[in-house]
Amino acid sequence: MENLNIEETKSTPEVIGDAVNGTLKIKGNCFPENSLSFFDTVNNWIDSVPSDLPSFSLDCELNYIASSSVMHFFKIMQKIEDLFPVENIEIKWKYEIDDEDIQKLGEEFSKLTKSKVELIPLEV
Amino acid sequence: MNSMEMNFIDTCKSKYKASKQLFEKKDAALFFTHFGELSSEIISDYTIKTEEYLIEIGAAKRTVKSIFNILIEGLQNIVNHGENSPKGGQLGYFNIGELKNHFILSFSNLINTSNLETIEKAIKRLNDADESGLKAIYLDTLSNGQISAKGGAGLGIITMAMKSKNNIIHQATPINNELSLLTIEVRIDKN
Repeated sequence: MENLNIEETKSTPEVIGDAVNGTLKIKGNCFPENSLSFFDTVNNWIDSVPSDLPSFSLDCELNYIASSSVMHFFKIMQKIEDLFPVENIEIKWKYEIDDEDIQKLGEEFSKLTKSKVELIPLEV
Repeated sequence: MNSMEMNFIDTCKSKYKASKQLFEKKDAALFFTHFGELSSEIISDYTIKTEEYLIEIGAAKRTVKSIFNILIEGLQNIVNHGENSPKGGQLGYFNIGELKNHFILSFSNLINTSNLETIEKAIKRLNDADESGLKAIYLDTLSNGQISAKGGAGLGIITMAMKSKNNIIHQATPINNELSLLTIEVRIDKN
């Protein structure tokens, strides 16, 4: 059971996973050249997290996101819902207050997921 | 290089040269252009340069975000789906610029001519849809789509249509018996 720590680049976000507290934070741009490879690392880490944790929290704060990564985020949310009871899942979707694109994406996820997606506007 | 390869590349270069003529009009400008192979470094560089340039010329934040998103989708599309030239290596180009009332992004890459009909049908479906129709197609693709071996999920062209709020213009030019050069042009209104 290891923590996950991926450093931010121009095209990929910082990813910090805490396997003890059950938190996964993803922050930055997300348009990796190879989205499969990038998200495999994240998915493998989620698979390694004990499913008996009292809760799991996904915290996303994205700037630019490519469509190929949008699908991966949706799959991550579905994976978390497969592993943990919906009532124990917390998804926070943060966006700059004037960033309609990221806001709308969060709204779309909230329609498609069983768990509640909390939309959090951030002052610029 | 044999004569067939020369003709192939000359035809692509000639199409590239012609594509830039659009930006020679009055009130037009070509911001960035590239011919040849793309890499993740080139994509990162051009997207960031474009964002900086648009902010410098005073484009609205919403417009900057839309253009950045379309640029990523267009460039990743070339890398993920562009066919190789007979010489080997991908061959494509893109232009980013403006006309009086629009920002314009055009992307060209080689495709198998046999796939052209499918792509044209997909573009027509998007062009025929209104804003709510596009959103429905997007949500349907997101919730039912599968991630391909190349990491895509068919959302790229839909995203381009949604961000552009204009029809996607496309043109295909046969280059040899198998391949065509497909150009996709996306316009974003300035106001």
